[in-house]
Amino acid sequence: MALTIGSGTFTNGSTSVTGVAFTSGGASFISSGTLLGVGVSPMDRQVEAISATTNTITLREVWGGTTGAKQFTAAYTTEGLRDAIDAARGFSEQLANRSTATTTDMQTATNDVKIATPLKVKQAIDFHAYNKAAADAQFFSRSNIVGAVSQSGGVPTGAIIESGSNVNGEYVRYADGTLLISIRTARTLGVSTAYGNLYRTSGFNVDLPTQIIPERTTVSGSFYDANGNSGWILSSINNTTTQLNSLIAVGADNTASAARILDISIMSKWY
Amino acid sequence: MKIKLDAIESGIDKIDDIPPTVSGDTLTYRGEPYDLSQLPSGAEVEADLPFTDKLKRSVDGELSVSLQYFYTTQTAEAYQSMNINDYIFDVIDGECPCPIKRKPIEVSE
Repeated sequence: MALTIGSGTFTNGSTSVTGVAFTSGGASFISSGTLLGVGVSPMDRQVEAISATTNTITLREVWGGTTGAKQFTAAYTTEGLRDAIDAARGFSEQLANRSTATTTDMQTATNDVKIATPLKVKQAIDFHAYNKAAADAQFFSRSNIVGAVSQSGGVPTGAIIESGSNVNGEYVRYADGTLLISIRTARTLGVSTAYGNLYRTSGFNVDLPTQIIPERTTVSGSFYDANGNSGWILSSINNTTTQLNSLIAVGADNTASAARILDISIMSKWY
Repeated sequence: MKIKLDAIESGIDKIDDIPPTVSGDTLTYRGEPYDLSQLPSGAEVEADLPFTDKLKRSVDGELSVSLQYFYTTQTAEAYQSMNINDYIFDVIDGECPCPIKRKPIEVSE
């Protein structure tokens, strides 16, 4: 790399060198601790520069020589190197201090994440912890994937998976709208009405643990009893949001009214 | 009056029903009063929602009704009692208890 060489107008009694033009190097090579050798053959004097722009240089002390356009050559000193080390140390300390910043530094008014500088790693961790508890949580961890699901306009706004149960059965709802229901219930049913070569019950209803969308629902089920009788449960088109209506149980044998266990699986949507 | 609350998680509708109230033979639910005094002993009549079963009066004169009762997991625990007896109440006068286990109310930080 060539030495930084150029020319400018030095003014007696001023720290400002104006009309600077660089023939090699540039303003970025001049900072605190840079030595300028001013004048060529013979050298006029040596002064310290502290900063520069594309067309000015600022000196540490006022120019003591005569006013006029002069050539200069910049050189680096150990003092300049020490300044550079101090600047790097300051940057490092700034990094460390950033770790105590608060989450509010990380968010805009609308809870968007600000474009973070690489310094804000600690804040990102804080923000995650904060966000986990927020109603509009956007990040998931093991602790919040299961919870109450919700949606707005088809966009999930709650947990990923919700499961629950009540006296009518159990259910699992997923953030994408998938709804799974399992019901085990006991009924006294007579499988005694001819149904082709089989036998069926009269229609009966089963309450649901949570609301379904009837037209997006599939139902399958089976029944069995203490006497070893078993068979299938068939759905109808009469289901409502809260009830499976007019189900029938179908078996191969004609069996009189007896207590049966019914296992019913439902796949539907909750939105 | 014997009241059975057919608890159903209300899903996307997020409805939390308020328990019915009883005054003599009149049941008030979802803002509507239902006067059941004309139902004779031993009789059963079909009824539409919010009733989920026939309205019945025993030969002893006791009324029994089943009501659709929505709750939402926004306010209620996901796992509710699976014992039917927890949803049946004998209410002489006043408000029927709510069988739904609620979430603790969150205190915002």
